[in-house]
Amino acid sequence: MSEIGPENYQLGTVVSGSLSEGVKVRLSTEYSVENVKVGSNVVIQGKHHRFFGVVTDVSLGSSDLTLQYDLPDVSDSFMAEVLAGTTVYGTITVEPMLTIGIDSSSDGFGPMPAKTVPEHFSSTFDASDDDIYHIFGPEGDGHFWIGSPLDMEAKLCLDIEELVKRSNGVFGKSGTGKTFLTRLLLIGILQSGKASNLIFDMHNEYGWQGTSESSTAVKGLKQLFSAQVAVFSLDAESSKRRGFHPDFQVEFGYSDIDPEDIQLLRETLDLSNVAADAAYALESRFGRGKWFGEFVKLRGEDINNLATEINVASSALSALRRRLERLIRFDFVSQNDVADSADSIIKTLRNGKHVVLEFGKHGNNPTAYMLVANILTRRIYERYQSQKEESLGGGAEVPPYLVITIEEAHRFLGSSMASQTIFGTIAREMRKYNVTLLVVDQRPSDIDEEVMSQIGTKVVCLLDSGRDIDSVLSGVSGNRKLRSVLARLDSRQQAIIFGHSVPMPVVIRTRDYGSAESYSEFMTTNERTVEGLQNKLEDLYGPSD
Amino acid sequence: MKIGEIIESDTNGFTARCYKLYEGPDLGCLIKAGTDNSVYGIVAHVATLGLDPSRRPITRGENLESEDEVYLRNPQLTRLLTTEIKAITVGFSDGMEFKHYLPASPPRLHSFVSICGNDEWISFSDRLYFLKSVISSGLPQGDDIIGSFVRQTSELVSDPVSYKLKAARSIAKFLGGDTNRLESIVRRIR
Repeated sequence: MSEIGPENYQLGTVVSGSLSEGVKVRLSTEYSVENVKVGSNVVIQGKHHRFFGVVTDVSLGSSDLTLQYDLPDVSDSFMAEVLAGTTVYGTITVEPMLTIGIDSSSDGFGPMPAKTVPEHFSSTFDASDDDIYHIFGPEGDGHFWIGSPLDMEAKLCLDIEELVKRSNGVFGKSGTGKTFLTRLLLIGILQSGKASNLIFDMHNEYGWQGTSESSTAVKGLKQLFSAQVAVFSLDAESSKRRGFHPDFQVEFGYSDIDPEDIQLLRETLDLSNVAADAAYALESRFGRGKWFGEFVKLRGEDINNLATEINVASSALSALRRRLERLIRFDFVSQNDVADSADSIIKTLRNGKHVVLEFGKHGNNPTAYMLVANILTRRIYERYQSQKEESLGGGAEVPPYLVITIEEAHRFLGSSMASQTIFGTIAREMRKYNVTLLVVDQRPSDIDEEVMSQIGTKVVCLLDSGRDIDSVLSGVSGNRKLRSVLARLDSRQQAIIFGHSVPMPVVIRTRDYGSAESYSEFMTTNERTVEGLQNKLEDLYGPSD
Repeated sequence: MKIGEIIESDTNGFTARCYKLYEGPDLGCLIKAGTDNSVYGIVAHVATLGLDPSRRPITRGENLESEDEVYLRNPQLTRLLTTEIKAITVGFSDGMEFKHYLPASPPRLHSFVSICGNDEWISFSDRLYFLKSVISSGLPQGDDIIGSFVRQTSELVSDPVSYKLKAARSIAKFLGGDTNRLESIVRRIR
């Protein structure tokens, strides 16, 4: 961290505290308590270390305990001015997050997690832009500018390399800017070249044109980075109506549907456990890849006979048959063998492109979303798994990181199904096979606890429910204090980020997305790289062979 | 400006008799005793009384029109009456700098007492620790002494309002949590 300079404004002096409860700083007379916000960053200059921390509480103190019963005449402005900062004063509680050695023995180690507290009467300053750059790294070189700390203009950056190594989450109640933040993270990953993105775009917001809260149109990834992004669609008609042609139309054959998919859809199809489990019995009776096609051909008495044959209650099997009718009705499910969509996606990803899968009209149908996401992810994961294993044996290249973005993640990662679905496996096994998740959800408490504990970086917008707040903060050091920060976030354009890709939890004002200036800033960063220039050329003259 | 001489002196303060009747310093005035290594005090009590403690003054103006006439017709009064001041010692000078605590020994009797000049006053009052000795002196007029001192000092400095605020805040600190007393002093400072 740079030296304390004139750009650091002194807030006050450390008067008490502990590592577990945070450090109490008495504000200086000149500094109004109303100018300090929970979540803002401060620097405390200790004797041997400089501490970087976050304000977790703001309070009012008084040296006269009877003051609340025997009020002085504060209508006299002079009296009020005398009392302020002397008899009555403001205090802030600072959670020390990082320390930086300032004596010669500790030089060169960079920021380390705080394991002690500053001495009494250490001076406390607000953090300067330089401090932010020093802690979070400068933009570029794998660091993506995601926003600015509260009340600061400094560009706060995420370490994208660390981000893509683990599964991550964007949480927040509806309308708090999850989609905007997710777009930014996706652009960060795209620009860094550290991983490929596969986005299950439930509401058609990421690929081509989305809308902001004020209902103005904002550009999608394809519009900003057309050479690097391919849009796959389940509903080409919807894409055309919105004014563009998808790169690929996704279809599935009956042979693509596995019993595991039926397990995932158990709740949305309203199936009993017995009925859902019957899919496995059917698979062993008809064979992998054939069971669905064979089973849906059966009618009436045939189903009863089959039930007897495979030893499943006929009522359960009939229920399964009736419910599977919903899948057959999807226009992207075909009884014929169709082009392997998973294969096309993998090929596209291998070519260094990022894939957005739009659901069109099916976006409002959780059954369709879950079915498609599960089928594709399972197959992609299998490919990655085998390639990674081959690479370990020296027979293939290590597959590049793949980040799969899923919305409404609690549908896939709820406690009852996280152990059964491919998404649960990815979240738990994490980076073993270079495939990670970016889960976007508004009810994190519905996500399996084990999965939540494996989330590397959490980007959290405003959450109201106590259960959701507990869920996102579980396992985070100092979570009791972060709770108050989290509960007081603005409902727009503010988020708290914590986890592996930032050295300490930090509240940000999200970077602007949607204005012409914001687009040009993305493009400028993108064009700084050789790859970016190549893409620009491809945009102009078509792909080079 | 020389105003009188010390007639009683102890560790905590001194009493001076003024050369001229009624021409003593104001309550709260910063005075010094001695010319070299002066001892500084704040006027805490001003009294005019008969020189002979066994003879109390009698009334003289029952049939006169004005108070001034009393003195004109009884010119001996200026010799029989005297103005005395008591000061609380608040510091001293060692010849190099001001010390805002008690000197090792009190000023000698008959030391000349004078009111500090503006520069010396401002310079001595830059630090206000000494007000604590006035606050804790236990004198019933303590709040008035401080109020008067701060008012007089503020008239000498370039930014009176800031000085008053600075002084009041120092006093608030000395008083700890005693907001009632602080309020009482602040009312006198304004």
